[in-house]
Amino acid sequence: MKKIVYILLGSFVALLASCEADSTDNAAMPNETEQSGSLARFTILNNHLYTVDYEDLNVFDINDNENPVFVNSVNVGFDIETLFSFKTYLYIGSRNGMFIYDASNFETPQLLSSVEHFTACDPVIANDTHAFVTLKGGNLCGANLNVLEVYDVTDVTNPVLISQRNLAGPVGMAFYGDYLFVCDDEVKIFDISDPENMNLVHAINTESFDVIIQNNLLILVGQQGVYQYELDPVNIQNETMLSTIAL
Amino acid sequence: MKNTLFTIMLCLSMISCWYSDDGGDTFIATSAYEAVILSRTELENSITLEQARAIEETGKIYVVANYLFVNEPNVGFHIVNNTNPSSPVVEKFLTTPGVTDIILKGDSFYINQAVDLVALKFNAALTNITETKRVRNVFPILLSPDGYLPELGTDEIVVNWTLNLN
Repeated sequence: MKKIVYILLGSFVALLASCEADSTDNAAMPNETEQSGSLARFTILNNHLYTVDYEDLNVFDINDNENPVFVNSVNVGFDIETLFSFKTYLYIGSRNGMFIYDASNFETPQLLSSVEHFTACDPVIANDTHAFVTLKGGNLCGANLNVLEVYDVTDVTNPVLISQRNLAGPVGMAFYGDYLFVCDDEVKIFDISDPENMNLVHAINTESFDVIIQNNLLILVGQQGVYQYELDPVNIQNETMLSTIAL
Repeated sequence: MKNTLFTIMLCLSMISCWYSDDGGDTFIATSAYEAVILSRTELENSITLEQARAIEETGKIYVVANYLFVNEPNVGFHIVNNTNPSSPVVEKFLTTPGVTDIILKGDSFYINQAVDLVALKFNAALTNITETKRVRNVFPILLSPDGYLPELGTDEIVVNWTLNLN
């Protein structure tokens, strides 16, 4: 009975949440030697570890690396999925939308803005001016929408949807210079030098759900394994397959 | 209890997008998954560094210098020496039941282990792992993929769910 009550209340809360405008953004500082995929739920900013779980954004003080101390928990919403940081901003992807928090006050992140969807929202990644969000349909309450959305986040307190594009079932994303890599039915590569008018310039025929790009190394993880490619910085259509770690 | 039931009925009546022709029987059904449960003591003694093993299910990936950490969801991490990306070598398996995420600061790794946050340190030769801190009960109980809470006794922690084949 307890289970049922929980689920019912949960679904009710989810519905309520989806009817409110919520948004958070987070920004990640890519590091040369360590990097997470866009599905990560952990990020580090200013000697603080931020994590998201189903509903909360948690803050740990890690000034002493070996001794993390839990300092705060902020209720964000429901069905939180991913956390990405850029500068002092935390971009949070949930099934209901995107939330942008400011973590310049390390222990007490402040909600800056939110945007809402009625479909599943997978990750969000962002740069100085734009946030990219993938929505994958087929989830609870979700219409069968599979979309890449682009928000102008020049004003992080007011993200503006400037472009969207239908895809097959997009999940993870990564930046590579002027390009955005999206894990879809294949890896789709968009020229985002003009984010309002993204161009599909190339695709790599590999099934994957998340991606990390380090320098010119493309690392993909899919249900069947881990795939690595060398990218060509002068010709985006000229990648070289390096290896596969198959299941 | 009456009040709770009333609330539930109220919720149901308002959840238009969850409406289904079977009258919402899906809510009453039990989970299609079975919880993998450890005692707190078992959980706290479960982190071990082992020989490499085959990847059974892929989760998130994380890059640390020349290493690639590939999550086996709620089971552990495959540690891949990626010095030569043309020929990566799966070197070790870090058993950490209940884990999905990892991140590094300095030489400390932070992972989620079910409801706990754990700080870990490898020795230089990557042959041993030490837990430097465990922050207990900071994360929520792991729900089944179809949204159920486990039936837990005191001191029991769910670290994974497996599909019930019955």
